[in-house]
Amino acid sequence: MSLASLQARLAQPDPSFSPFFVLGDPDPDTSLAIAQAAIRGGADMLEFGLPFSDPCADGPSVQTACSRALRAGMTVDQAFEIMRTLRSASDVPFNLLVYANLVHRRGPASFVADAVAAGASSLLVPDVPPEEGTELGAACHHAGLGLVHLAGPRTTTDRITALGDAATAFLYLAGRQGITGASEAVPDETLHAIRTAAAASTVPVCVGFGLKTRRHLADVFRAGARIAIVGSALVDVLASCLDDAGSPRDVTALTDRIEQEVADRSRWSGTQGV
Amino acid sequence: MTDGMTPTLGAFGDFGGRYTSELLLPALDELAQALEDIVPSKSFQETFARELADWAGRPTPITSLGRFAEGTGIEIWAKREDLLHGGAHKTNNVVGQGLLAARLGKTRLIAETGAGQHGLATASVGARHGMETVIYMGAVDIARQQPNVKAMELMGATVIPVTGGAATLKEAINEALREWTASVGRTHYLLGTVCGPDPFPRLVRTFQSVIGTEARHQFAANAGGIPDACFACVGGGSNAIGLFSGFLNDDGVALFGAEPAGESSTRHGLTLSRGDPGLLHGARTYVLQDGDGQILEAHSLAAGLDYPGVGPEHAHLKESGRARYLGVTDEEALDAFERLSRTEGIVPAFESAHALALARRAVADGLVAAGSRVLVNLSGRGQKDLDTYFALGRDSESTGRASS
Repeated sequence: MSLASLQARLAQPDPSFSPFFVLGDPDPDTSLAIAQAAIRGGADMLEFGLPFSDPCADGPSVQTACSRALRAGMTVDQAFEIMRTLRSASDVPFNLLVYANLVHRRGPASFVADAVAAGASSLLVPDVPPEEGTELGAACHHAGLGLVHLAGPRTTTDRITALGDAATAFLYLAGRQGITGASEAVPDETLHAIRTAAAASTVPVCVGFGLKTRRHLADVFRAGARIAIVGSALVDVLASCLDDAGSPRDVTALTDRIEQEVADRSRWSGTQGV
Repeated sequence: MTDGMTPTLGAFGDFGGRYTSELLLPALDELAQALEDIVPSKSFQETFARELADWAGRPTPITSLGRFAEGTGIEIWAKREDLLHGGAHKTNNVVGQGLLAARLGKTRLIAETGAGQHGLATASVGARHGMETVIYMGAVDIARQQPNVKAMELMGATVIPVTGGAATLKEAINEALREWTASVGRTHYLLGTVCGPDPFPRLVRTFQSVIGTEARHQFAANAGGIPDACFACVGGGSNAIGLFSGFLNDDGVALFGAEPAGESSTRHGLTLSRGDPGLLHGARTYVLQDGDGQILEAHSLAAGLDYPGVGPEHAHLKESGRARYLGVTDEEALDAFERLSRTEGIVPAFESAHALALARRAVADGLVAAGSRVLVNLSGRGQKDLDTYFALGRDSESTGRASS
């Protein structure tokens, strides 16, 4: 499974839409149900964040999601357990977004082995640039886990090529310089950056950070992105279904809503220009 | 190690590095280049020295603490960073980084602050350079440090409350890093201690090394020779690195860092004594963390020591055995705070009181021999802590206790 399922998906002519959720948000059981709903909604890939106490690369929505998950007692082992359960019923690729200290704590080889066993296709560690990622890269290579690197709109063309060469799964382009959660139109700077990155990168380009609507997805796909990730917008939908204590008011209503939100952004085959 | 992660960039042994988002690397590259090219230049060094002298009031003296040292069996000298403009060593770093930001053409400063000392220092240098200044401060800290918040605003800074997590220093750094990622270009992140991604630990060390350089000369002139040991408190660790840097190559000078043992075995900030290697705020260093690697909260009466990480150079000095780090409880620090006030007429910051307390028990702990001469970094003055101190109610019940 692992990297091969992702590469098979990326080899198809239509681009891929991936929702993002923090595993364990708002609690482990509901989190599993949400991911299952996203798969039913037609997600081409799923990106999962492991909750971290200090998510420096994330905006307020995902920070709060991490807090909810940790407050619910979420652990790294439980996150892998949720992935294993999902993997037993689906071959949708999983990209795992993990802050470096969680990888460091287990050791990169052990962490990567556990991630592969749980069904991960690829791994993005947003606070490990290639210069500091020798051990991580070797561990991913050894275990057959795809490696994702981050780039930004102002990353130089030469650097994009180098990052693409260092990545084995795809290049993750931050939709704007900065944090997740922005909701305006996709800026021209970003579309230009996507075109540049698509031309310079030896691996497919994925766009995350700040995408919200179906229109945003159409824009970034047209500019050359092969994967588009919607994170904060869906996490906000999730949060809107919680009570003041952070518990779901109605789990079925929540998962139906997530399935619908994912379905609204999926189904790109042959109709990219929507 | 067979399954580890070790840093490549700006490493102190197995510690340090640049564990940050790719989006910050251009800004860190620019800063590292400036540390090589601009900081050592004659024109920069001259301006830095002049600004430290004329605006900040350097050099600060060293003072023999004869009455404070009574009963300890050693001679104690203090480096008086409490007399620096702003009331603490923090000013050295902001003067240097403020000048560097101006040389790099930056027009905006951002900074994190815990209790507010680094925020005040950054606000003052922002005013001095006419730069827009934005300070990130935990909402909890804002509520308990209103006079500092008002003073930052008086000097023209904007104070932004940070509400995530425990809403204290760690979260303020997270938010400053996020904001820097979004605004990098015209903005300089003026990090307040020897933590963070490379080149910050080297950069802040460079600007704080004036403490050790001065103290070395002053000790030779006033006491003769070099001290047998140096003591400094360690939160992030910038005042300690500043003092230690003057004596690192003197094998005869023992180096001791005082970490906050807080109020109990579960509420402390003993990052080096009790933590493990991990990755926090861009560096591999010792951190307080759980089995998964989630960062834990630190606790100390001294807000400036209340941090679950520590500068990577300290992690290296610990591993190499060059420096030793020991815990000092809130109670021991308060005793030293009162004792210095009553015996020498100097009210130290709670942070600095940790270093003073460790020096007082140095012979009893077997750290130095009787008859030794030691140098303590009195990193800041205690006026900021008076409200907290009086609220403890010790002043009425304990009159005279430190004079015995």
